[in-house]
Parts: sequence; structure tokens; C-alpha cells
Amino acid sequence: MENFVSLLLFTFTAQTAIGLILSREIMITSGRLTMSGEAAVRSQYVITALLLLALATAFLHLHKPLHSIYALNNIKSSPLSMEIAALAFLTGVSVLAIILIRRGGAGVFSETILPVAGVVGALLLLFTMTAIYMLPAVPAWYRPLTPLSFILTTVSAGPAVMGALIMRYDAISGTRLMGVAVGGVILLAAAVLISVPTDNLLFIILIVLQVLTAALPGFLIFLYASCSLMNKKHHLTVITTVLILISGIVARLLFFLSFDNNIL
Amino acid sequence: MKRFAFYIDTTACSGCKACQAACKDKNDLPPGLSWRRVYEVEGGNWREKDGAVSEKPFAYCFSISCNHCEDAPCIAACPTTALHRTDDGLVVIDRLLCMGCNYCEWTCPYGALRFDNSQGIMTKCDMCEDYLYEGRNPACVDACPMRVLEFGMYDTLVARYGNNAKIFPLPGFEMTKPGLVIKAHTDAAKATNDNAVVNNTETY
Repeated sequence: MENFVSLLLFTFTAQTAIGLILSREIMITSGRLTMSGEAAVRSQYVITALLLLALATAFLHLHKPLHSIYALNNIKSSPLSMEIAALAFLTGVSVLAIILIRRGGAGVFSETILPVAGVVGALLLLFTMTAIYMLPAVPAWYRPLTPLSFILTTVSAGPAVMGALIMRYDAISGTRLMGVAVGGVILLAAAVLISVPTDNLLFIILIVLQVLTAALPGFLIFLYASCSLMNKKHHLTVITTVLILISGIVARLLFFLSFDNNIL
Repeated sequence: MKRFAFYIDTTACSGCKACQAACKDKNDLPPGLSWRRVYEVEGGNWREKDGAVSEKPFAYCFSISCNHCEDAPCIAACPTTALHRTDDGLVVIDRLLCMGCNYCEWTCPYGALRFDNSQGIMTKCDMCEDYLYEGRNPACVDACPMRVLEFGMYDTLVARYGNNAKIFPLPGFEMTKPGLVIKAHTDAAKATNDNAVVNNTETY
């Protein structure tokens, strides 16, 4: 498949942003995080940056970007049209949230309507992104492991970044969230092991890399929880987050490299 | 709605690529872009007994282009509606709407959608629409020296040759309902993903 690097970047940044939104809103709804806390506020900047990067990548992926004004013409049947609409909606909500944060906005709109719109937009984006790749003409993608791997990337990358922000900027511990991220990336590595063919040396190398970068964070979290490295909390958080993100990116890379369009 | 279709007799296709060359010539396609493609499928096995080796190979060729499917996945997938069906039932691309996202290429099990680097948009067989209005056959059909390609209304071809549209590695009729009727080579039934390879997949 040609020109898949931009697609890899797009899917990974979008899924990380979705995971960030969902994990943050769950933490706020469960009372473990405050909406006005520094971690929650900073996460909104990260989410917006990721979505703008995804939007730019999607735009630059096109060979005729000026024709993208017609991209919503087939919203009733094209998953790609629906994805573009969901991405535009979510990015708009995120930018609006930033503006209200900067203006010190409060009230029902900021505290209820916008977060609900963000969660709905995030779920819509995840759903449409998955639908794009469920193609009968691409047997390697047309199976349950495709949506599962997309969900697991969302569940690992997003919570990893949110956990890192909480550990850095908030008084509460982000260990549980980091544990969710580690669990997600380990399951993702297992899904990749099952689904990707192993008759290619490059695939084998990438699979080994993905499994290692998925297993190491679990080991590091164990060291942290066992107080062996409590004084290295900040370094552990950063290393764990980076490893989880690398593992997720390698999983996406293996996904795109496994493209087979009925041989023709 | 009218429904045109291609018929190919793979029992007699020699793989000469005259159809492919005629299509490139008629449509002035640049190097690396072919709307009609000819593939060779080969496979088989061998065994050794008492120091002697006996082979059981098989091989056949087939020519394929866009089948202007009744349930065309490319039309459903195209975000800009550049891909659409004409009143004559042909699936065509509006070049002024195509944004070159390549998504249609993924959806087609026949590899019909081809990216044109020089224009930055997707392109495909249009069944020589201009020839149809003149009552002529598409260029590929008339170019075939073995006369294995035929063109006409789908119902007419089905009545004459049956409704088989499946030959390895192509999918069955049910996936996209292609405008395609195939007379399968006798060896085609032996070919599977495990014992056959598709050659000549490079484009010219």
C-alpha cells in the first residue's frame, strides 16, 4: 500500500485523542478528577493539538486537497464522509472548549453540553474510523480483530497520555489509569500476534518490537507499585507512556503493512 | 436500467495482452496505468516415485477490467460522489470531484480503480462510453485475436453463457454483482490460495 504513513499518523493521533477524551470524562464523572484541575485543562490542549494534527494529516494525504470541499457529499453511505464529518465536529468542539477555557467560561454549556458533545463526537469518530477499514475486498482487514485493535489502541494510548498528565500535574495518583493503558497495550500485542502473518522477516521484527514495548510498561508499573523506584516516578511515567505509544504505532504499522486487496 | 457486461472465455485466453494494449492506446494511458489487466494463474504440485519425478501443473490466463457492478462498493464508498452510475448503467468517475483519497481502490475486489499520478485522481474503465454511443464494442473486445472477449447486455450474455462470474482469485457474483460472465478454464477449479500464484501483477 502506497502512502500509508499519513494514514498511520492520522489513525493513531485520532485514536489517542479519542482515548484521552473518554478516559478524562470517565475520571471526571467518577469524581476522581476535577474539570478545572490542571491535568484536565492541559489534556484539552493535548486533545486539540492531536485532532488538528489528524485533520492536517488527512488533508495533506489527499492528492487533490482543494476537492475536499466535496468530501461530505456522500455522508449517507460513505464511511469516509462520515469520518470526516465526525472529525470536523470533534475538532470544532475541542477548539470551542479551548476558547472557553481561555475566557474562564463556566456554566451548563461548558460543564455539561460541551463534554457530552465531546464524548459523542469521539465515539462517532471511532465508529466511523473502524467502518472505513471493514472491507470485504481486503480479507486481511475484514475480521473482528480490526475493530478490536482500533478499540485497544484507543484504550491504551489515550489513558497512557491522560495518566501521564495526571501524574505530572495533579495530586491524585494516575496509576490505575496507567494500569488500564498497560492492559490495553498488552491485549493489543496479543491481537496483533494472532492476526498478522509471520512469513515475512520485517513482520517478525515488528511483532517482536511491539510485544517488547507492550510488556516493558507492565514491568515498569510493577516496579513503581512495589516502591522499588518511587523516587523515579516522573521518569517511569514518561518512559511507560512513550513505550505504550510506540507499541501502538507499531501495531498500526503492522495493520497497514498487512493490506492485501484480493491480489489484484 | 440498462446493464452492460463483459464475457470472457478463459479456456481460450492466451494472455497476449492485446486487450490491455488496445485499452491503453484508445484511452492514451500513461506508463504504469492500465485499466484492463491480464493475469496468469499458475500452480500445481509434483511427486517423486522410484527416482522419477512427475508434475501436475496447471495454468490459465484471464483479462479483467471494471465490471460496472450492480452493487458497486466504490460508489457507496466515494465521499465526494465522484464515482457514480450513468443512466446507461456505467460506473464512471467525475474528475472534477475526485480528491484522490484512494479509498475506492481499497473497496474494489477486481482492482478496477487505478490512480493516475499525472492527474492526481482515480481513473477506471468506462466501457469506452463514446464507442457505445456509436454502436461499437469497447476497444479491448475488438482487439482480442482469440475472440475470447465479448460485450453486450448482461441478460443476453447470461442467457447465452450462464451466470458464472467466479474464477480464482476473483470473488463470486454475490460480493458486488459484477457485469461479468466467465467461462472458467478447466484448471480453475484446482486453484486455491495455497497452491496457486497470480503472475504478471505489475502494471505497464
